[in-house]
Amino acid sequence: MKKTIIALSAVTALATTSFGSTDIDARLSKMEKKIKKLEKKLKKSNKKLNKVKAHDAGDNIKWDVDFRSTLDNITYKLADGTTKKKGSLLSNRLLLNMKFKAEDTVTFYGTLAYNKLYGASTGQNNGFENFDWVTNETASTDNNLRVKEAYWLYANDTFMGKDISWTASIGRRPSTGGLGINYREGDKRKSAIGSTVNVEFDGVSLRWNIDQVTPLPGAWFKFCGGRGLTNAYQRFNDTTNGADYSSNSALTKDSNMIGFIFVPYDDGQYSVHTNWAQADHLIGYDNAGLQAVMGGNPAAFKDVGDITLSTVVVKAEGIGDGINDFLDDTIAFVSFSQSKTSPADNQAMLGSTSSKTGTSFWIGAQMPCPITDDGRLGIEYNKGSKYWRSMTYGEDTVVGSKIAARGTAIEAYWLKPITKSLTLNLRYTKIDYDYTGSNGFFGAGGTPMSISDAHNAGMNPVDKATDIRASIRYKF
Amino acid sequence: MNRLLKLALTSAVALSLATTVASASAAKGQKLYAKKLKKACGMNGAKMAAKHTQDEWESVKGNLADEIKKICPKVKSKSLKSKYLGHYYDFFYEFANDSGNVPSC
Repeated sequence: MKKTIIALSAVTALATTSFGSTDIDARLSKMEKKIKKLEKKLKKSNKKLNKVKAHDAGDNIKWDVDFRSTLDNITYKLADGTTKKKGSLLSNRLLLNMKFKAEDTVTFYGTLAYNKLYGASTGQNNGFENFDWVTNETASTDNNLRVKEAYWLYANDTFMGKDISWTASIGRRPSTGGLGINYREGDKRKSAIGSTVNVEFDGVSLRWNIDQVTPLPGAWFKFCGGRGLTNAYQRFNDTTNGADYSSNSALTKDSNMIGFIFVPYDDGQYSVHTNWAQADHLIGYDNAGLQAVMGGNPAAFKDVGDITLSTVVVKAEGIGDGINDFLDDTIAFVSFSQSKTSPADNQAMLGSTSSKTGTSFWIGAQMPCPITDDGRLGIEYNKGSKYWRSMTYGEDTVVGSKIAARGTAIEAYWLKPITKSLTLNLRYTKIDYDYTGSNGFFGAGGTPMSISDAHNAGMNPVDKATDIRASIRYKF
Repeated sequence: MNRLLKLALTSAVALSLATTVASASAAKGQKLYAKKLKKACGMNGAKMAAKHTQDEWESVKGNLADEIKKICPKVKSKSLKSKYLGHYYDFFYEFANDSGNVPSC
Protein backbone atom coordinates (compact mmCIF):
# COMPACT_ATOMS: atom_id res chain seq x y z
CA MET A 1 0.00 0.00 0.00
CA LYS A 2 2.81 2.31 1.10
CA LYS A 3 4.76 1.44 -2.03
CA THR A 4 1.68 2.07 -4.15
CA ILE A 5 1.09 5.43 -2.53
CA ILE A 6 4.75 6.38 -2.95
CA ALA A 7 4.72 5.21 -6.54
CA LEU A 8 1.49 7.02 -7.26
CA SER A 9 2.81 10.16 -5.56
CA ALA A 10 6.02 10.02 -7.58
CA VAL A 11 4.08 9.65 -10.82
CA THR A 12 1.80 12.56 -9.87
CA ALA A 13 4.78 14.74 -8.93
CA LEU A 14 6.50 13.94 -12.23
CA ALA A 15 3.35 14.65 -14.25
CA THR A 16 2.77 17.97 -12.48
CA THR A 17 6.32 19.10 -13.09
CA SER A 18 6.12 18.20 -16.79
CA PHE A 19 2.77 19.93 -17.17
CA GLY A 20 4.10 23.09 -15.40
CA SER A 21 7.18 23.44 -17.64
CA THR A 22 5.07 23.09 -20.82
CA ASP A 23 2.83 25.83 -19.56
CA ILE A 24 5.78 28.08 -18.78
CA ASP A 25 7.34 27.39 -22.18
CA ALA A 26 4.12 28.30 -23.92
CA ARG A 27 3.84 31.47 -21.93
CA LEU A 28 7.49 32.31 -22.53
CA SER A 29 7.04 31.74 -26.24
CA LYS A 30 3.99 33.99 -26.22
CA MET A 31 5.92 36.69 -24.38
CA GLU A 32 8.80 36.40 -26.83
CA LYS A 33 6.40 36.93 -29.73
CA LYS A 34 4.91 39.95 -27.97
CA ILE A 35 8.35 41.39 -27.29
CA LYS A 36 9.31 40.91 -30.96
CA LYS A 37 6.12 42.71 -31.98
CA LEU A 38 6.83 45.55 -29.56
CA GLU A 39 10.40 45.82 -30.81
CA LYS A 40 9.10 46.11 -34.35
CA LYS A 41 6.65 48.83 -33.31
CA LEU A 42 9.37 50.68 -31.45
CA LYS A 43 11.61 50.56 -34.52
CA LYS A 44 8.80 52.00 -36.60
CA SER A 45 8.13 54.74 -34.06
CA ASN A 46 11.79 55.67 -33.92
CA LYS A 47 11.88 55.84 -37.71
CA LYS A 48 8.88 58.19 -37.67
CA LEU A 49 10.41 60.26 -34.91
CA ASN A 50 13.62 60.60 -36.86
CA LYS A 51 11.63 61.76 -39.88
CA VAL A 52 9.92 64.39 -37.74
CA LYS A 53 13.27 65.46 -36.28
CA ALA A 54 14.81 65.75 -39.75
CA HIS A 55 11.78 67.70 -40.93
CA ASP A 56 11.81 70.15 -38.04
CA ALA A 57 15.50 70.38 -37.23
CA GLY A 58 16.69 73.90 -37.98
CA ASP A 59 13.08 75.08 -37.95
CA ASN A 60 13.87 77.98 -35.70
CA ILE A 61 10.82 80.16 -36.07
CA LYS A 62 7.31 79.55 -34.78
CA TRP A 63 4.76 81.33 -36.96
CA ASP A 64 1.31 82.52 -36.26
CA VAL A 65 -1.02 84.43 -38.52
CA ASP A 66 -3.16 87.44 -37.78
CA PHE A 67 -5.25 88.33 -40.83
CA ARG A 68 -7.91 91.04 -40.76
CA SER A 69 -10.31 92.38 -43.39
CA THR A 70 -11.85 95.77 -42.62
CA LEU A 71 -14.64 97.93 -43.91
CA ASP A 72 -14.55 101.58 -42.81
CA ASN A 73 -17.20 104.18 -43.44
CA ILE A 74 -15.55 107.58 -43.09
CA THR A 75 -17.00 111.07 -42.83
CA TYR A 76 -15.10 114.28 -42.28
CA LYS A 77 -17.01 117.48 -41.61
CA LEU A 78 -14.92 120.44 -42.58
CA ALA A 79 -14.91 123.89 -41.04
CA ASP A 80 -16.87 125.36 -43.94
CA GLY A 81 -19.64 122.84 -43.35
CA THR A 82 -18.86 120.58 -46.29
CA THR A 83 -18.12 116.92 -45.81
CA LYS A 84 -15.58 114.54 -47.27
CA LYS A 85 -16.46 110.91 -47.20
CA LYS A 86 -15.59 107.41 -48.11
CA GLY A 87 -18.61 105.15 -47.94
CA SER A 88 -16.75 101.86 -48.02
CA LEU A 89 -13.03 101.77 -47.48
CA LEU A 90 -11.95 98.14 -47.77
CA SER A 91 -8.57 96.91 -46.62
CA ASN A 92 -6.72 93.73 -45.68
CA ARG A 93 -4.05 93.55 -43.01
CA LEU A 94 -1.80 90.55 -42.60
CA LEU A 95 0.55 90.11 -39.64
CA LEU A 96 2.91 87.17 -39.72
CA ASN A 97 4.17 86.87 -36.17
CA MET A 98 7.40 85.07 -35.52
CA LYS A 99 8.96 83.95 -32.32
CA PHE A 100 11.50 81.46 -31.14
CA LYS A 101 13.18 80.76 -27.81
CA ALA A 102 16.71 79.92 -28.87
CA GLU A 103 17.85 79.37 -25.29
CA ASP A 104 16.60 79.98 -21.74
CA THR A 105 17.66 83.56 -21.68
CA VAL A 106 17.20 84.57 -25.31
CA THR A 107 14.02 84.82 -27.37
CA PHE A 108 13.43 86.30 -30.80
CA TYR A 109 10.22 88.15 -31.74
CA GLY A 110 9.29 89.66 -35.08
CA THR A 111 6.37 90.60 -37.26
CA LEU A 112 6.07 90.87 -41.02
CA ALA A 113 3.18 93.06 -41.99
CA TYR A 114 1.08 94.02 -44.95
CA ASN A 115 -1.72 96.54 -44.83
CA LYS A 116 -3.37 97.35 -48.12
CA LEU A 117 -6.48 98.94 -49.52
CA TYR A 118 -8.39 96.72 -51.88
CA GLY A 119 -7.19 96.78 -55.45
CA ALA A 120 -4.92 99.32 -57.09
CA SER A 121 -5.21 103.06 -56.61
CA THR A 122 -7.34 104.92 -59.12
CA GLY A 123 -4.70 107.64 -58.98
CA GLN A 124 -1.86 105.47 -60.25
CA ASN A 125 -0.64 106.72 -63.61
CA ASN A 126 2.73 105.05 -64.04
CA GLY A 127 4.77 102.12 -62.76
CA PHE A 128 2.20 99.70 -64.14
CA GLU A 129 4.63 96.83 -63.83
CA ASN A 130 3.64 96.78 -60.16
CA PHE A 131 -0.04 97.40 -60.78
CA ASP A 132 -1.93 95.56 -58.07
CA TRP A 133 -3.53 93.06 -60.43
CA VAL A 134 -0.20 91.73 -61.66
CA THR A 135 2.28 92.66 -58.96
CA ASN A 136 3.40 89.08 -58.23
CA GLU A 137 3.34 87.93 -61.83
CA THR A 138 5.75 90.65 -62.93
CA ALA A 139 9.43 89.76 -62.93
CA SER A 140 11.02 93.07 -61.92
CA THR A 141 14.34 94.34 -60.70
CA ASP A 142 13.38 95.03 -57.11
CA ASN A 143 13.74 92.61 -54.19
CA ASN A 144 10.43 93.40 -52.52
CA LEU A 145 8.31 90.62 -51.12
CA ARG A 146 4.63 91.10 -51.79
CA VAL A 147 1.49 89.33 -50.74
CA LYS A 148 -0.03 87.28 -53.52
CA GLU A 149 -2.78 85.57 -51.55
CA ALA A 150 -4.02 85.83 -47.99
CA TYR A 151 -7.47 84.69 -46.94
CA TRP A 152 -9.30 82.62 -44.41
CA LEU A 153 -11.78 79.92 -45.41
CA TYR A 154 -14.72 78.90 -43.27
CA ALA A 155 -16.26 75.51 -44.11
CA ASN A 156 -19.43 73.91 -42.82
CA ASP A 157 -21.24 70.71 -43.77
CA THR A 158 -24.78 72.07 -43.57
CA PHE A 159 -26.41 75.30 -44.68
CA MET A 160 -29.58 76.39 -42.92
CA GLY A 161 -30.20 72.82 -41.87
CA LYS A 162 -29.86 71.42 -45.40
CA ASP A 163 -27.30 68.90 -46.62
CA ILE A 164 -25.40 71.64 -48.45
CA SER A 165 -21.74 71.97 -47.55
CA TRP A 166 -20.54 75.52 -47.99
CA THR A 167 -17.57 77.80 -47.59
CA ALA A 168 -17.03 81.51 -47.07
CA SER A 169 -13.81 83.41 -47.52
CA ILE A 170 -12.50 86.97 -47.45
CA GLY A 171 -9.10 88.30 -48.38
CA ARG A 172 -6.69 88.48 -51.26
CA ARG A 173 -8.11 85.82 -53.48
CA PRO A 174 -6.55 82.82 -55.23
CA SER A 175 -7.65 84.42 -58.51
CA THR A 176 -4.62 83.62 -60.66
CA GLY A 177 -3.66 80.19 -62.00
CA GLY A 178 -7.28 79.19 -62.51
CA LEU A 179 -8.89 76.40 -64.50
CA GLY A 180 -7.23 75.75 -67.84
CA ILE A 181 -4.12 77.87 -67.36
CA ASN A 182 -2.95 75.64 -64.48
CA TYR A 183 -2.16 72.56 -66.58
CA ARG A 184 0.93 73.94 -68.30
CA GLU A 185 2.48 74.57 -64.88
CA GLY A 186 1.59 71.15 -63.51
CA ASP A 187 -0.44 72.91 -60.82
CA LYS A 188 -3.81 72.26 -59.28
CA ARG A 189 -6.34 74.83 -60.41
CA LYS A 190 -7.12 77.82 -58.27
CA SER A 191 -10.46 79.55 -57.91
CA ALA A 192 -11.01 81.47 -61.15
CA ILE A 193 -11.55 80.20 -64.68
CA GLY A 194 -8.42 81.12 -66.61
CA SER A 195 -10.18 81.85 -69.91
CA THR A 196 -11.56 85.14 -68.61
CA VAL A 197 -10.07 86.01 -65.23
CA ASN A 198 -6.42 85.76 -64.23
CA VAL A 199 -5.53 88.73 -62.01
CA GLU A 200 -4.78 89.25 -58.34
CA PHE A 201 -7.86 90.49 -56.58
CA ASP A 202 -9.08 91.49 -53.14
CA GLY A 203 -12.55 90.27 -52.32
CA VAL A 204 -14.91 87.65 -51.00
CA SER A 205 -16.29 84.32 -52.12
CA LEU A 206 -19.13 82.08 -50.99
CA ARG A 207 -19.58 78.58 -52.31
CA TRP A 208 -22.43 76.10 -51.95
CA ASN A 209 -22.09 72.44 -52.95
CA ILE A 210 -25.57 71.57 -54.16
CA ASP A 211 -25.05 68.03 -55.44
CA GLN A 212 -26.76 66.44 -52.43
CA VAL A 213 -29.94 68.48 -52.84
CA THR A 214 -30.22 68.55 -56.65
CA PRO A 215 -30.04 65.83 -59.30
CA LEU A 216 -26.89 67.47 -60.67
CA PRO A 217 -23.81 65.30 -60.00
CA GLY A 218 -21.00 67.24 -58.35
CA ALA A 219 -22.77 70.59 -58.83
CA TRP A 220 -21.70 73.73 -57.00
CA PHE A 221 -22.28 77.46 -57.13
CA LYS A 222 -19.84 80.14 -56.07
CA PHE A 223 -20.43 83.87 -55.71
CA CYS A 224 -17.35 86.09 -55.95
CA GLY A 225 -16.99 89.81 -55.51
CA GLY A 226 -14.34 92.35 -54.80
CA ARG A 227 -12.72 95.64 -55.55
CA GLY A 228 -10.10 96.10 -58.23
CA LEU A 229 -9.57 99.84 -57.81
CA THR A 230 -9.91 102.02 -54.71
CA ASN A 231 -10.54 105.75 -54.84
CA ALA A 232 -9.22 107.23 -51.60
CA TYR A 233 -6.71 109.82 -50.53
CA GLN A 234 -3.73 107.90 -49.21
CA ARG A 235 -2.49 108.83 -45.77
CA PHE A 236 -1.26 112.43 -45.54
CA ASN A 237 -2.12 113.00 -49.21
CA ASP A 238 -5.13 115.26 -48.79
CA THR A 239 -2.99 118.33 -48.36
CA THR A 240 -6.06 120.59 -48.60
CA ASN A 241 -8.16 119.20 -45.79
CA GLY A 242 -6.21 116.35 -44.18
CA ALA A 243 -9.18 114.04 -44.76
CA ASP A 244 -7.18 110.82 -45.09
CA TYR A 245 -8.84 107.96 -46.97
CA SER A 246 -11.86 110.03 -48.02
CA SER A 247 -12.91 109.84 -51.67
CA ASN A 248 -11.00 111.99 -54.11
CA SER A 249 -13.41 113.59 -56.57
CA ALA A 250 -10.55 114.25 -59.00
CA LEU A 251 -10.07 110.52 -59.57
CA THR A 252 -12.24 107.77 -61.06
CA LYS A 253 -14.60 105.84 -58.81
CA ASP A 254 -13.99 102.54 -57.07
CA SER A 255 -14.05 99.68 -59.56
CA ASN A 256 -15.86 96.62 -58.26
CA MET A 257 -16.33 93.21 -59.77
CA ILE A 258 -19.02 90.63 -59.01
CA GLY A 259 -19.60 87.28 -60.57
CA PHE A 260 -20.42 83.67 -60.11
CA ILE A 261 -19.03 80.31 -61.07
CA PHE A 262 -21.58 77.56 -61.62
CA VAL A 263 -20.61 73.94 -62.19
CA PRO A 264 -23.77 72.12 -63.23
CA TYR A 265 -22.06 68.77 -63.76
CA ASP A 266 -18.95 67.08 -62.42
CA ASP A 267 -18.76 63.30 -62.16
CA GLY A 268 -15.07 63.38 -61.28
CA GLN A 269 -14.07 62.72 -64.90
CA TYR A 270 -16.24 64.92 -67.10
CA SER A 271 -17.29 68.37 -65.93
CA VAL A 272 -18.81 71.63 -67.15
CA HIS A 273 -17.77 74.96 -65.66
CA THR A 274 -19.43 78.32 -66.30
CA ASN A 275 -18.53 81.81 -65.16
CA TRP A 276 -20.20 85.18 -65.46
CA ALA A 277 -18.62 88.37 -64.11
CA GLN A 278 -19.15 92.10 -64.38
CA ALA A 279 -16.69 94.85 -63.55
CA ASP A 280 -17.67 98.52 -63.34
CA HIS A 281 -15.92 101.89 -63.61
CA LEU A 282 -13.02 100.45 -65.55
CA ILE A 283 -10.19 102.77 -66.44
CA GLY A 284 -8.46 103.82 -69.61
CA TYR A 285 -7.02 106.83 -71.37
CA ASP A 286 -9.05 108.86 -73.80
CA ASN A 287 -7.33 109.76 -77.08
CA ALA A 288 -5.70 112.90 -75.66
CA GLY A 289 -4.46 111.02 -72.63
CA LEU A 290 -3.04 108.24 -74.76
CA GLN A 291 -1.19 110.74 -76.93
CA ALA A 292 0.25 112.38 -73.82
CA VAL A 293 1.40 109.07 -72.34
CA MET A 294 2.92 107.96 -75.63
CA GLY A 295 4.81 111.26 -75.62
CA GLY A 296 6.22 110.45 -72.18
CA ASN A 297 3.89 112.74 -70.24
CA PRO A 298 1.53 111.72 -67.43
CA ALA A 299 -2.20 111.63 -68.04
CA ALA A 300 -5.22 110.93 -65.89
CA PHE A 301 -7.29 107.81 -66.34
CA LYS A 302 -10.97 108.16 -67.24
CA ASP A 303 -13.81 106.00 -66.05
CA VAL A 304 -14.64 104.53 -69.46
CA GLY A 305 -17.37 102.04 -68.53
CA ASP A 306 -18.19 98.48 -67.54
CA ILE A 307 -17.45 95.05 -68.93
CA THR A 308 -19.24 91.71 -68.75
CA LEU A 309 -17.31 88.48 -69.13
CA SER A 310 -18.72 85.01 -69.56
CA THR A 311 -17.25 81.63 -70.28
CA VAL A 312 -18.05 77.93 -70.44
CA VAL A 313 -15.43 75.20 -70.12
CA VAL A 314 -15.93 71.50 -70.74
CA LYS A 315 -13.20 69.31 -69.28
CA ALA A 316 -12.29 65.63 -69.30
CA GLU A 317 -9.85 64.18 -66.79
CA GLY A 318 -9.28 60.88 -68.53
CA ILE A 319 -11.00 59.92 -71.75
CA GLY A 320 -13.26 56.89 -71.80
CA ASP A 321 -13.31 54.27 -69.09
CA GLY A 322 -10.33 51.97 -69.16
CA ILE A 323 -9.83 52.02 -72.96
CA ASN A 324 -6.12 52.22 -72.33
CA ASP A 325 -3.70 53.79 -69.86
CA PHE A 326 -2.82 56.63 -72.23
CA LEU A 327 -6.39 57.86 -72.53
CA ASP A 328 -7.04 57.24 -68.85
CA ASP A 329 -4.25 59.65 -68.10
CA THR A 330 -5.07 62.34 -70.68
CA ILE A 331 -6.70 65.65 -69.76
CA ALA A 332 -8.57 67.67 -72.39
CA PHE A 333 -10.58 70.86 -72.24
CA VAL A 334 -12.37 73.27 -74.53
CA SER A 335 -13.63 76.72 -73.68
CA PHE A 336 -15.72 79.42 -75.30
CA SER A 337 -15.75 82.94 -73.86
CA GLN A 338 -17.34 86.30 -74.51
CA SER A 339 -16.62 89.86 -73.43
CA LYS A 340 -19.06 92.75 -73.82
CA THR A 341 -18.33 96.42 -73.11
CA SER A 342 -20.79 99.06 -71.83
CA PRO A 343 -19.14 102.42 -72.40
CA ALA A 344 -19.89 105.20 -69.94
CA ASP A 345 -21.66 108.35 -71.15
CA ASN A 346 -19.41 110.36 -73.45
CA GLN A 347 -16.64 107.79 -73.15
CA ALA A 348 -15.19 105.24 -75.52
CA MET A 349 -14.20 101.72 -74.53
CA LEU A 350 -11.72 99.89 -76.70
CA GLY A 351 -11.91 102.83 -79.09
CA SER A 352 -15.70 102.78 -79.52
CA THR A 353 -18.59 104.63 -77.90
CA SER A 354 -20.93 101.74 -78.61
CA SER A 355 -21.00 98.38 -76.90
CA LYS A 356 -18.64 95.87 -78.47
CA THR A 357 -18.64 92.11 -78.14
CA GLY A 358 -15.55 89.96 -78.41
CA THR A 359 -15.16 86.19 -78.34
CA SER A 360 -12.42 83.67 -77.67
CA PHE A 361 -12.02 79.96 -78.23
CA TRP A 362 -9.46 77.83 -76.34
CA ILE A 363 -8.68 74.16 -76.57
CA GLY A 364 -5.98 72.14 -74.85
CA ALA A 365 -4.82 68.66 -73.95
CA GLN A 366 -2.21 67.21 -71.63
CA MET A 367 -1.13 63.61 -72.03
CA PRO A 368 1.49 61.14 -70.81
CA CYS A 369 4.86 61.69 -72.48
CA PRO A 370 5.49 58.72 -74.83
CA ILE A 371 9.26 58.65 -74.25
CA THR A 372 9.35 58.85 -70.45
CA ASP A 373 7.34 57.15 -67.71
CA ASP A 374 6.61 60.24 -65.68
CA GLY A 375 6.70 63.19 -68.12
CA ARG A 376 3.66 65.06 -69.42
CA LEU A 377 3.18 66.67 -72.85
CA GLY A 378 0.72 69.47 -73.48
CA ILE A 379 -0.61 71.40 -76.46
CA GLU A 380 -2.99 74.38 -76.50
CA TYR A 381 -4.55 76.67 -79.06
CA ASN A 382 -6.64 79.79 -78.59
CA LYS A 383 -8.09 82.43 -80.86
CA GLY A 384 -9.55 85.80 -79.92
CA SER A 385 -11.64 88.15 -82.03
CA LYS A 386 -11.19 91.85 -82.76
CA TYR A 387 -12.89 93.19 -79.64
CA TRP A 388 -11.97 90.34 -77.32
CA ARG A 389 -10.99 91.69 -73.91
CA SER A 390 -10.17 89.29 -71.10
CA MET A 391 -9.07 90.17 -67.58
CA THR A 392 -5.97 87.98 -67.76
CA TYR A 393 -3.16 90.48 -67.20
CA GLY A 394 -1.78 88.27 -64.44
CA GLU A 395 -1.12 85.31 -66.73
CA ASP A 396 2.43 84.06 -66.35
CA THR A 397 3.50 84.56 -69.96
CA VAL A 398 6.30 87.08 -70.27
CA VAL A 399 5.38 88.12 -73.83
CA GLY A 400 1.85 89.01 -72.72
CA SER A 401 -1.26 87.01 -71.91
CA LYS A 402 -1.81 84.49 -74.69
CA ILE A 403 -5.46 84.18 -73.60
CA ALA A 404 -5.92 87.92 -74.19
CA ALA A 405 -4.63 87.64 -77.78
CA ARG A 406 -6.75 89.24 -80.47
CA GLY A 407 -5.34 86.72 -82.86
CA THR A 408 -4.03 83.20 -82.52
CA ALA A 409 -1.84 81.60 -79.91
CA ILE A 410 -0.34 78.13 -79.91
CA GLU A 411 1.61 76.50 -77.16
CA ALA A 412 3.41 73.22 -76.52
CA TYR A 413 5.08 72.18 -73.29
CA TRP A 414 6.82 69.30 -71.57
CA LEU A 415 6.73 68.75 -67.82
CA LYS A 416 9.29 66.29 -66.51
CA PRO A 417 9.90 65.53 -62.83
CA ILE A 418 13.61 65.28 -62.05
CA THR A 419 13.21 64.33 -58.38
CA LYS A 420 10.30 64.41 -55.95
CA SER A 421 10.79 68.13 -55.49
CA LEU A 422 12.33 69.30 -58.78
CA THR A 423 10.51 69.57 -62.11
CA LEU A 424 11.80 70.64 -65.50
CA ASN A 425 9.38 72.58 -67.73
CA LEU A 426 10.10 73.31 -71.40
CA ARG A 427 7.51 75.47 -73.12
CA TYR A 428 7.06 77.09 -76.52
CA THR A 429 4.45 79.84 -76.91
CA LYS A 430 3.70 81.73 -80.09
CA ILE A 431 1.20 84.57 -80.40
CA ASP A 432 0.22 85.90 -83.82
CA TYR A 433 -1.73 89.12 -83.39
CA ASP A 434 -4.45 90.11 -85.83
CA TYR A 435 -5.21 93.36 -83.98
CA THR A 436 -3.52 95.73 -81.56
CA GLY A 437 -4.56 96.41 -77.97
CA SER A 438 -4.73 92.83 -76.66
CA ASN A 439 -3.24 93.70 -73.28
CA GLY A 440 -4.21 97.39 -73.15
CA PHE A 441 -6.43 99.07 -70.60
CA PHE A 442 -10.07 99.67 -71.38
CA GLY A 443 -9.99 103.04 -73.15
CA ALA A 444 -8.17 104.18 -76.25
CA GLY A 445 -5.20 101.98 -75.43
CA GLY A 446 -7.40 98.96 -76.08
CA THR A 447 -8.48 100.09 -79.55
CA PRO A 448 -8.14 97.24 -82.06
CA MET A 449 -6.43 98.16 -85.31
CA SER A 450 -5.21 95.57 -87.75
CA ILE A 451 -1.44 95.27 -87.50
CA SER A 452 -0.99 96.52 -91.05
CA ASP A 453 -3.31 99.54 -90.47
CA ALA A 454 -1.42 100.43 -87.31
CA HIS A 455 1.87 100.13 -89.14
CA ASN A 456 0.64 102.24 -92.02
CA ALA A 457 -0.45 104.87 -89.50
CA GLY A 458 3.11 105.19 -88.28
CA MET A 459 2.84 102.88 -85.27
CA ASN A 460 5.02 99.84 -84.71
CA PRO A 461 3.05 97.36 -82.58
CA VAL A 462 4.00 93.75 -81.88
CA ASP A 463 2.89 91.52 -84.77
CA LYS A 464 4.10 88.15 -83.49
CA ALA A 465 5.56 87.16 -80.13
CA THR A 466 7.43 83.99 -79.28
CA ASP A 467 8.56 82.71 -75.90
CA ILE A 468 10.69 79.62 -75.47
CA ARG A 469 10.89 78.91 -71.77
CA ALA A 470 12.95 76.46 -69.77
CA SER A 471 12.44 76.37 -66.03
CA ILE A 472 13.42 74.17 -63.11
CA ARG A 473 11.06 74.38 -60.21
CA TYR A 474 11.56 73.32 -56.65
CA LYS A 475 8.25 72.59 -54.98
CA PHE A 476 7.87 70.44 -51.89
CA MET B 1 21.47 81.74 -76.12
CA ASN B 2 25.10 81.54 -74.98
CA ARG B 3 27.07 78.31 -74.78
CA LEU B 4 27.00 78.03 -71.02
CA LEU B 5 23.22 78.35 -70.93
CA LYS B 6 22.85 75.77 -73.69
CA LEU B 7 25.08 73.42 -71.75
CA ALA B 8 23.12 73.95 -68.56
CA LEU B 9 19.85 73.35 -70.36
CA THR B 10 21.10 70.22 -72.10
CA SER B 11 22.36 68.86 -68.77
CA ALA B 12 19.01 69.53 -67.13
CA VAL B 13 17.17 67.72 -69.93
CA ALA B 14 19.62 64.81 -69.85
CA LEU B 15 19.33 64.55 -66.07
CA SER B 16 15.56 64.57 -66.20
CA LEU B 17 15.50 61.90 -68.94
CA ALA B 18 17.78 59.71 -66.87
CA THR B 19 15.46 59.71 -63.87
CA THR B 20 12.01 58.34 -63.30
CA VAL B 21 10.07 59.68 -60.36
CA ALA B 22 7.25 57.55 -59.02
CA SER B 23 4.19 59.48 -60.13
CA ALA B 24 2.69 61.76 -57.52
CA SER B 25 0.37 59.07 -56.21
CA ALA B 26 -1.36 61.20 -53.58
CA ALA B 27 -2.42 63.66 -56.27
CA LYS B 28 -3.37 60.81 -58.58
CA GLY B 29 -5.19 59.13 -55.73
CA GLN B 30 -7.17 62.28 -55.05
CA LYS B 31 -8.23 62.47 -58.69
CA LEU B 32 -9.10 58.78 -58.78
CA TYR B 33 -11.11 59.13 -55.61
CA ALA B 34 -13.14 61.97 -57.16
CA LYS B 35 -13.75 59.86 -60.27
CA LYS B 36 -14.32 56.41 -58.86
CA LEU B 37 -15.29 56.60 -55.20
CA LYS B 38 -16.69 59.98 -54.25
CA LYS B 39 -20.24 59.31 -55.39
CA ALA B 40 -20.40 55.88 -53.77
CA CYS B 41 -18.83 57.09 -50.54
CA GLY B 42 -20.99 60.20 -50.35
CA MET B 43 -18.16 62.35 -49.01
CA ASN B 44 -15.26 64.32 -50.37
CA GLY B 45 -11.71 63.00 -50.36
CA ALA B 46 -10.64 65.04 -47.34
CA LYS B 47 -13.37 63.51 -45.20
CA MET B 48 -12.57 60.03 -46.42
CA ALA B 49 -8.85 60.37 -45.74
CA ALA B 50 -9.59 61.73 -42.28
CA LYS B 51 -11.46 58.56 -41.34
CA HIS B 52 -8.16 57.14 -40.05
CA THR B 53 -4.79 58.15 -38.70
CA GLN B 54 -1.72 57.37 -40.76
CA ASP B 55 -0.98 54.35 -38.57
CA GLU B 56 -4.50 53.05 -39.07
CA TRP B 57 -4.30 53.41 -42.85
CA GLU B 58 -0.97 51.62 -42.72
CA SER B 59 -2.48 48.77 -40.79
CA VAL B 60 -5.24 48.24 -43.39
CA LYS B 61 -2.99 48.75 -46.40
CA GLY B 62 -2.99 45.04 -47.17
CA ASN B 63 -6.80 44.94 -47.12
CA LEU B 64 -7.50 48.39 -48.45
CA ALA B 65 -10.25 47.26 -50.80
CA ASP B 66 -12.12 45.67 -47.89
CA GLU B 67 -11.65 48.74 -45.74
CA ILE B 68 -13.02 51.00 -48.47
CA LYS B 69 -16.01 48.67 -48.88
CA LYS B 70 -16.56 48.82 -45.14
CA ILE B 71 -16.65 52.64 -45.17
CA CYS B 72 -18.48 52.89 -48.51
CA PRO B 73 -20.79 49.87 -48.86
CA LYS B 74 -22.16 51.17 -52.18
CA VAL B 75 -18.78 51.17 -53.92
CA LYS B 76 -18.55 49.05 -57.08
CA SER B 77 -15.86 46.39 -57.44
CA LYS B 78 -14.56 47.91 -60.66
CA SER B 79 -13.64 51.03 -58.67
CA LEU B 80 -11.38 48.88 -56.49
CA LYS B 81 -9.07 47.52 -59.19
CA SER B 82 -5.65 46.67 -57.83
CA LYS B 83 -3.99 49.30 -60.03
CA TYR B 84 -5.98 52.00 -58.23
CA LEU B 85 -5.40 50.84 -54.66
CA GLY B 86 -1.83 52.11 -54.35
CA HIS B 87 -2.91 55.58 -55.40
CA TYR B 88 -5.93 55.55 -53.07
CA TYR B 89 -3.66 54.51 -50.22
CA ASP B 90 -1.11 57.24 -50.92
CA PHE B 91 -3.88 59.85 -50.93
CA PHE B 92 -5.52 58.58 -47.74
CA TYR B 93 -2.17 58.32 -45.96
CA GLU B 94 -1.06 61.80 -47.03
CA PHE B 95 -4.24 63.40 -45.74
CA ALA B 96 -5.00 61.18 -42.75
CA ASN B 97 -6.41 62.95 -39.72
CA ASP B 98 -3.03 63.17 -38.01
CA SER B 99 -0.98 64.13 -41.07
CA GLY B 100 -1.31 67.87 -40.63
CA ASN B 101 -1.90 68.17 -44.38
CA VAL B 102 -4.92 69.91 -45.82
CA PRO B 103 -6.02 68.83 -49.31
CA SER B 104 -7.02 71.66 -51.58
CA CYS B 105 -10.77 72.08 -51.85
